[in-house]
Amino acid sequence: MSWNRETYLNAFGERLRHLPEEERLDAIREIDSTIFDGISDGLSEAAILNRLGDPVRLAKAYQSDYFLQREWKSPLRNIWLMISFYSTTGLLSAMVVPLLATITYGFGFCAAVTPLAGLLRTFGVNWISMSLAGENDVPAIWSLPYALVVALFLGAIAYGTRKLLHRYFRFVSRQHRKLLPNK
Amino acid sequence: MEITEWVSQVRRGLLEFCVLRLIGTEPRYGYELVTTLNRWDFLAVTEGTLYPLLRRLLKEQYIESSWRESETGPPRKYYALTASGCELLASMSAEWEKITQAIEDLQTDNKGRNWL
Repeated sequence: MSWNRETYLNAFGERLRHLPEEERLDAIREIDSTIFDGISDGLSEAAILNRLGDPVRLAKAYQSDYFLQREWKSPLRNIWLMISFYSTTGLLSAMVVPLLATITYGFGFCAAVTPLAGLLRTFGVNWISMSLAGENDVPAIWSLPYALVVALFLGAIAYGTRKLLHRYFRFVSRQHRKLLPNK
Repeated sequence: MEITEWVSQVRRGLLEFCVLRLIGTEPRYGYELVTTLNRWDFLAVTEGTLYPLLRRLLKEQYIESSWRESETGPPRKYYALTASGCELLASMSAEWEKITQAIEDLQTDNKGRNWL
């Protein structure tokens, strides 16, 4: 396409529409005065326009600088970040949360029930079996202390996974906050 | 390394220094800067390179701009150094002195060794 001063400036200005209006007009006026200076220097209009190059590229050069300054984030980039956040974190959560929750509440429940079982066994409830290393039966009299040790052990596991679960939730909400516009 | 690639790297690094030097002597407008730089093949630039550079220097407040009437045509946008631009230019000049001195020293050192 062959340009003249007017079409060139129009094309240039059109491409600068993302700049604040004041900066846009400023840029157009500057290019206009450059074209004028070139022509009064003895260049043909075509020659100076050729030197300025493609107006679209010139406008891009102006704007790329502007967007670098503002650390520009496009709406598209934000959507992309959202998608990657929800798909990765969503998938991860679908595995991590049920696993940790089952361990926490399962082990927690067992930890609560075990001392009760120990107490019942001490007083002769014989359908509750307790054994050491799978073979040696625990004497009825030792049922409660043995149950307490086991309960403590189970409780520790439940407590640990509960902490992990909370830490995971905090991690996810931190990541999520990063996505939201900082205003 | 291709010599043209090397030249363009060196030139890119020096363009800012050259522009600040030109603006440092007196306020200049864009077209004037381009034509002045184009007197040397090594420094030749186009508006497409220079104007974004000027905009960056403006944003970083090393230079400031003002519109002035021209006797012959539309007003021109003149660029002048700010106080921090003067400081930047001074430290760039000092560094440049060091660089040229070092390169010169390398050369004489080599000669000295060759004589031994």
